Amino acid sequence: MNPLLVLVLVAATWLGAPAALAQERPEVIDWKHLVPAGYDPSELVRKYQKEVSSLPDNDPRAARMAERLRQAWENAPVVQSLSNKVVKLSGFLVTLEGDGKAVSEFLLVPYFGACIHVPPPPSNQVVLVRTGTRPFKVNQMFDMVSVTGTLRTERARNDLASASYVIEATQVEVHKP
Amino acid sequence: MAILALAAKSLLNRRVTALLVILSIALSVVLLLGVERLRTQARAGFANTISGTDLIVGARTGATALLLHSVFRIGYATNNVSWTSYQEIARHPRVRWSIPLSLGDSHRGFAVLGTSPDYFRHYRYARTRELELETGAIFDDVYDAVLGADVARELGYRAGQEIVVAHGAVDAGVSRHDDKPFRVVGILRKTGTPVDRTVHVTLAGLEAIHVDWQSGMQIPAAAVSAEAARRLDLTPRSITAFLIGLDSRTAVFHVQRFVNDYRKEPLLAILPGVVLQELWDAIGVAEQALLGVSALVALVGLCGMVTALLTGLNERRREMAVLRSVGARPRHILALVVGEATALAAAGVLLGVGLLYVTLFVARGLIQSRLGLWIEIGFPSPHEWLLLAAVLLASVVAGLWPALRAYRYSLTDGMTVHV
Repeated sequence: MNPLLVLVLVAATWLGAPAALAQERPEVIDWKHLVPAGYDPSELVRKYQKEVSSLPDNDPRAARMAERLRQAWENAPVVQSLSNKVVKLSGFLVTLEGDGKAVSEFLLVPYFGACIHVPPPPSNQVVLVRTGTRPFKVNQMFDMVSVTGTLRTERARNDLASASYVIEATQVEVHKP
Repeated sequence: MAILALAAKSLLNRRVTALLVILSIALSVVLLLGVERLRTQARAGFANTISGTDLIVGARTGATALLLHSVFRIGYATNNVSWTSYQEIARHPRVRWSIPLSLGDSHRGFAVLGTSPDYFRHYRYARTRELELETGAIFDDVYDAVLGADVARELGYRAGQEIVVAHGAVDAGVSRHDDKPFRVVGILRKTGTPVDRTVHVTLAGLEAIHVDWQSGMQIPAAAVSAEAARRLDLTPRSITAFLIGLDSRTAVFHVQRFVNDYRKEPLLAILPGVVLQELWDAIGVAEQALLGVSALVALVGLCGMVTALLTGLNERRREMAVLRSVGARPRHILALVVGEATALAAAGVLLGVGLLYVTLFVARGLIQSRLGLWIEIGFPSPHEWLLLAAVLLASVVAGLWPALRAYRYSLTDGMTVHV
């Protein structure tokens, strides 16, 4: 091989590497980061709790209030500034689409058993992950995984309240605590 | 090359033993690959059957039972969902589409499914594929039927033909709804899923054929003709289950909770992907056990080969001596025996793969009619190549033992054998 060409190639790799790395390096985020700074759902709960506790048992108003609380909980706001950022987030995997060996679409949730045993997490604590052309091999139900990819907020309908998070994953790996 | 010809002739001389060794290795390969093949194909088949559906809702039962019954037509429903509950849940603000499913009747061994035109619009399989019509159109009239590809092929039906639906899951010639035949209006393209083995009719049609049925039998005095039934209110009172798609997949837990907490009727909503995953986890142990057993069978096959080679050695001490006398060195003897083991195993593997494909070809019809799963016959997967390579490698290693013994014999015996 031409020595000059080798030199150019080496230089290109050396110069190009940090730039590529900086672009690819994901921001490691936590589930807390997905909740807007001023948002406190427990305030909401406290507010309703006070009203509910003043009502007699089986009062239909209590049921209506619970319903309003549930809706507020479901439509928890998202952090718009996170949109289009490359992030890394760890959580539990809930299979949506797969072929029996690998999953191509799944929900990432912050705690184990998020689908049955307890009330579901608010909508800003559930992230839809699409793996595109590289499906992820699952070993077990509720595998704990780390997902790297571009985070976006997606609106299901034309109202802001229904926005939720989606990660177009470039990498999914088994989480090592 | 002369040595190869000699080796081949020597093997031919012991052909019965050699053939038995090849056969035992071949059968163990059939078992090993067959188990692996069925396992992966069954998983792929199940996973490809339902796609894009966020929740399956049915009367409260086991999650697996609901999935198997509503999508794969395996087992039975324990209860129905009332039409009003279905309507109410389908109107939930997050629900984008819903497909009602009404099962329980059959036509000559094929399931009859009452549903709405939304079925053809929203049902997805194999990730994103839609149902397509081979001929005709989807149902429109009360007594229209759309056939799955296999129903049409196996029974030789064409569009325009009239078919009679039987009451219950087995058509024994009695309990037929022969006063109200359905007309075939369309035939679907093959999907490789249970849809191929389903007769699709309208919910109103299913209601119509049961109009004059009371307490599980047709009351002759109350008989209503097909035309008269059209004028009645044919809104179903209940359905077996329904599929729903949401406007956002992240809302799935909330709608699931909404259905599971539904006060007016005990209902169950499941995420098909999760339940399938649960199913794989549950049968994973059995799969591993099967794979373990077939690996043991492969080991037994190899032991048989080593036994045959070892017992053959004593008879072949003269042969070895003759080979030595014409110039073969002890290492040639070693290579000869290892080569023979490898050749036997390779022949066994080849025959095994051939047998497997013949078996799959013959059995896939049976598997499809029993389980509704279509087995694809393709080239061996990387994992299967790995298993085959493992069998070959094991045979080479196993062949080393008799080979070393032959090597020692040829050294001690020299050319004078005293057997």
